[in-house]
Amino acid sequence: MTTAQASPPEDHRVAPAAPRPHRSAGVVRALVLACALAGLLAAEHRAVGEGRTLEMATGWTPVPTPTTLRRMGFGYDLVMADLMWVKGLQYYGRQRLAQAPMPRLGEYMDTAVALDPRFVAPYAFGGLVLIQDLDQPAAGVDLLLRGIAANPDRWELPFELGFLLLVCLEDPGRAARYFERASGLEGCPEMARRFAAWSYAQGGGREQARKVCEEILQLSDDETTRAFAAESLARIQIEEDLERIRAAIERHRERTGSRPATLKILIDRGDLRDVGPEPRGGAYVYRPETGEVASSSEIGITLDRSLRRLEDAVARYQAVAGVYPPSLEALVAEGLVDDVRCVFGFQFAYDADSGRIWIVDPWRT
Amino acid sequence: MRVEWAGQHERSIRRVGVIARGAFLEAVRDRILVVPLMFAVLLIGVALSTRTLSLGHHVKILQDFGLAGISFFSDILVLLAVATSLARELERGSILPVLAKPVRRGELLLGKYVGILLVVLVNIVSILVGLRLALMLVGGPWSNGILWAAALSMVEVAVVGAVAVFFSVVTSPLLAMIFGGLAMFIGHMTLDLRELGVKIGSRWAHAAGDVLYYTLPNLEIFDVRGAAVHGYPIGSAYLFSAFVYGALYAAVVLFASSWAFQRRNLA
Repeated sequence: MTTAQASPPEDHRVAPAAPRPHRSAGVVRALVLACALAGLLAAEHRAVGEGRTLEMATGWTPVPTPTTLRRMGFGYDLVMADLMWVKGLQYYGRQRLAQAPMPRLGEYMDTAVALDPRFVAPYAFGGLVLIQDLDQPAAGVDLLLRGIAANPDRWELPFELGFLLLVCLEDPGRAARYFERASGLEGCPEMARRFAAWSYAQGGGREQARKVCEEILQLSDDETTRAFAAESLARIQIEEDLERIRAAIERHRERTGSRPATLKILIDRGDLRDVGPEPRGGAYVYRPETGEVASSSEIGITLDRSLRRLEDAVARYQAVAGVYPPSLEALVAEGLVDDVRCVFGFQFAYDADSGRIWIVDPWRT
Repeated sequence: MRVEWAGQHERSIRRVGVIARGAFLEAVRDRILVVPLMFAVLLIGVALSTRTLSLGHHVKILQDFGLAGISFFSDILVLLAVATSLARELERGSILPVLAKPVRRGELLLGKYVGILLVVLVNIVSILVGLRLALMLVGGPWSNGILWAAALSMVEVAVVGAVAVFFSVVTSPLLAMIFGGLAMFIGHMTLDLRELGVKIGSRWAHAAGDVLYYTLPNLEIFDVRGAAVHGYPIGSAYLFSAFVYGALYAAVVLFASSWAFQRRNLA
């Protein structure tokens, strides 16, 4: 006899709903989330700040090599070149705003053109900045020459090189050759031929450079080149004004046997028609004890560059030696800078404990 | 006899077409095409944002990003689609009901492959439209070179897709994606591999470098993006050679895949 096992009666009751979390649990979760977000932002902010400090102190910004980028880029070299170009521009802008040295700019531009040799912009921009801002004419000319070799059909690069050779490096013979080369290429504006003729005929000179800059300022579409032309015009004007003032001082000295006490005396005595407005909005300053005359904006630019160069050298000394140099002269002895001289009576002061350098203003008592 | 052969041929093409349509619709249902649409919108963002960042060279950057996006997303898309559509079905056995019908295994492979390539074609056209719009927005020029570069990207995808199909047949979905991705990566470095063999100096390394160079697909052949962006002419002889190379490579790999698939035990 088999007995049917009684199965338990089915429970048709609806299962009770899971207990709803208490309201305070939601508040706790929101608080935890808010704290986590705040911590995240603080950590990110600190990391970025620390990174900037390191970069500013050491000038250290890693630029990947073209080979690395080629491997990482899955064959998308052009995109990698664009990234290097944009990063290079950001680096330039950031360092310029901070008035910090930019030792890696050339590397950014070199990497961009190694990945995309047909990309004309890094050659042109890099050449201009290396020659004009960073005072590295050989590197700038080399970059432009590489660009010309890789892009023999593009007029922009020989034109740019001619322009820089004429205006910055005062080498009209070579400038004429590059203007002529540019003028023979498709799309080159007519002015290249004119610039070549001027360079050949006049053999350089300030007047010719002024004409070139004025025409470029009027006709060029390129913003960087136009800005450079405007700056070059200002520099040419300052040079002319300073020569005029120096000649007047010399005339006054020959006539009276002593230097004038102020520039106004030169105008009053008829040695100088006027001092003229300084094109950058500064003023012409004069030291009667030495006879030096200079533009305040040029002094500012020179002091700034010298100061950044010295700060960079101190940071490099500290990075290697672990301590700050005992004096600024130690930087010269180590070959990190050529000299520590200042201009127009200004002087550099230095604190060996903190590594801080500052400029002593001789006019302030 | 001849009429019978033609009829069989026609029926075979029809079966491939039906499978291709199914594979295409499956990929569309999986929302794979959202990727190119998002990238097309991103391109317009790049067009607007790089204008100030790039010192007036935003058009070149936009063209570079657009063409690289076409190539990269198409390669990724084809790998994903092959892994999800073909390899997964093979692994799960859900392909068996299809094979129970009068469909040859080679036809099934070819149908899936063609359907996936259609998806990629839609992807490329979508990004091209996005690129065109973005270029119009910033006043950038449009050239035939861009179209040729996109067309060669399609051929590259056909090659990568064929390689992925082969690995789908002989391995698992995950491995198919990994090996397909490796082929895509190494395909841009075959010349480096050959040079590496020469640099090592040994006869065997030299031979191995040569074997790899000729066996692996040379995807650099399909990269004319530089010429397209910088406005240099792309010779018709070069284009013809690249198309023929891509078509033959894909055909050989698909033939090998079909051969391996015939011998695979699906039970």
